[in-house]
Amino acid sequence: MRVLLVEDDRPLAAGLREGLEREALCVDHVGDAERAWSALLATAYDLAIVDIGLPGMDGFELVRRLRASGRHVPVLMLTARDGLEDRVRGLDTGADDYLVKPFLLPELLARVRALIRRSRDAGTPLLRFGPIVLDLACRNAFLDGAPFELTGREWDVLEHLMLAAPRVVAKSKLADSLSRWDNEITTNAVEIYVSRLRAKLAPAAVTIRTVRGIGYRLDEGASA
Amino acid sequence: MSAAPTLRRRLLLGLLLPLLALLGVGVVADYRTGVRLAEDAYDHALTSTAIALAARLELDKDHDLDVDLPAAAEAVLRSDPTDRIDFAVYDHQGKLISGNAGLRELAAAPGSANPAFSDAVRDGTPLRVVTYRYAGPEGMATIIVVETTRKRQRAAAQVLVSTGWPNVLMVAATLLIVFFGVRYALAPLDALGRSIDRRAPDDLGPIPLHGTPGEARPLVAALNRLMDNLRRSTALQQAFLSNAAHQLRTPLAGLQTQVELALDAVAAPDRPRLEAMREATARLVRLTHQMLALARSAPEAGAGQQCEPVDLPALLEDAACGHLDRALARGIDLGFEPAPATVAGSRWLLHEMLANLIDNALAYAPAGSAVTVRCGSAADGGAFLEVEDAGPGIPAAERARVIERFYRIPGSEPAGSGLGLAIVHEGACRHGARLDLDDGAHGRGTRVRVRFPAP
Repeated sequence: MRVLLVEDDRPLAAGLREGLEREALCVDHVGDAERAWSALLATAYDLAIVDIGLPGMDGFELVRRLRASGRHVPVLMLTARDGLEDRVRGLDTGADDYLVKPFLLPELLARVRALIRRSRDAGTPLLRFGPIVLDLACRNAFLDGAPFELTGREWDVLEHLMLAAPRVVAKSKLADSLSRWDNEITTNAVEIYVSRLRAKLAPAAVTIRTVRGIGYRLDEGASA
Repeated sequence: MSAAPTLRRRLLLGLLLPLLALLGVGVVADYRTGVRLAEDAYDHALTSTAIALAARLELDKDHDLDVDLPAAAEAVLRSDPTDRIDFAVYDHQGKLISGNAGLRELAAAPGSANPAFSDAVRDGTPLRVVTYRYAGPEGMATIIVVETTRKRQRAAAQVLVSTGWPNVLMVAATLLIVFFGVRYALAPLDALGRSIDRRAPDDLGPIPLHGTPGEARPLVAALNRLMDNLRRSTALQQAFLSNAAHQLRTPLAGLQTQVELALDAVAAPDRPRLEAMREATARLVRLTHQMLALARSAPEAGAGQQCEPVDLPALLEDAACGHLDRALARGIDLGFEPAPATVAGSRWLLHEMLANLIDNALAYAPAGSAVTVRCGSAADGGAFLEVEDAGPGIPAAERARVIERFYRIPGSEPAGSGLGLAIVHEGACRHGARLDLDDGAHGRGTRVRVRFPAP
């Protein structure tokens, strides 16, 4: 996996590069948008991390150009401004996710993993989360490398949770998405699928955490 | 502060009082003219009677002056449908020739006008008196004719009525004309006020001078200058905050990342030092964020003026994503009870308010306890946001002070910066909302509720 890091602050860039490399990602770092643009034209990156406040051309413009040229590389935007306006503008421009400085390294890494997971241009139809692997082409599921059985709806719930992680998925939204195939999915039914999934995932280091009143989040690590 | 009288009242008073005074003077003048004309006519009639008496003067056989007044003629003289008429005729020596002897003292003094009129009262009855001094070939005589004033009073009353009514109508018409005239004249000002009222709170653009009445133009121009200054200073403030945020946050992000990386690699003896650095960095990060949020939420920064419908349950969902890890790290059960509710306001500021409320609750709630975040609509239709924890609670005496910046309850753990509730309070002010601090369920912990006004 190859990541382009576009950040003009040297200490931050060095820290991010080290953190990303510890995740076994290949990192190319540039300090301005012009060189980033050349790099993006020359190399097929799996992810770009772009700071908005760059000298010269800013991050918004870089992403706008990138999308205008038809490239689908996932983009995580970084900003030092806290306004949600920037977030909306960033996502409108074509960024896939958005993080406000300063952030904790694990948070950035979780977002990076999520973006790579969601990316359809990764070349493989495999969706990974910790010990879980879903082969979206053949609809085969693996837990710690061993195949395991999932019903259609369990698969849908798990795929949703895997795609959304590390975000919380609202129970009502899960019910709504599942109801496209079957009109009668209630939040109660979602609870049943989740409890069955929990039972099946119990042996592995992965947890479907309940967020009281909202929904669920898929976490790595065994349940407490 | 006493309200200055409105322009409308000033105009109404300024026009009505002089107009009413003028009308009053008019009524009095009309009345007096009318009464005088009537008096003149009646005086003329009274004089005719005196002259008729004079025509009856003749010399008797003793060459004394006498009045030849047969009973029939006297009856004609005294005939009047409303008033009693009486008379007396004296010769030049003052001897009564004819009539009522009791009238002598009513005679006008010699040397006054001829005929001379005067008013008198006899036995409580007002009288009009004419004194006519006759000088003819027969000799000289003084003729006094008196008349009660009943028809004069009646005439005065009629004059009063006939001049009063038109004037009352005139007053009423004037009142209406002035009232509607003032309203018509002030209508452009009212329209201007309404058009300024209708503007969006963040609309600091100039008010168009076109269509503004000339008198209001200096005012509108001054308002426009004021708004221009406000817009410029808001823009400067925003730019400053944006730069300050950038300049502060980027090095903090670098520092935080480097400390975390170092913690992964460091040998055991140095760990506590790095842990302390991480802790200090985290507090610095939080404080920076809060100070920037507080500065941005201040009215002069112009934030919180954006007005868009914000879905509170969606805000709670975002908060769930943002605070779950911290709650898990502290062993706190962070739960949500979202009910449908919408607030018209600033999404950014509402997000900041909720984040600070949850942050506070997570900071003070003991491990193993629950923090519950709620939203919904109250009975009056106003939306609310609420965060309840089972922490130490806020003593009633401290509740007014905890919203002050940097205030911390004496003796409490220094878990926060003392800015969280100040931000929530500032945000509540921007949204016209009320901030209520109460005990949590069963009298334990704290329940902070932001009550938005009903739409």
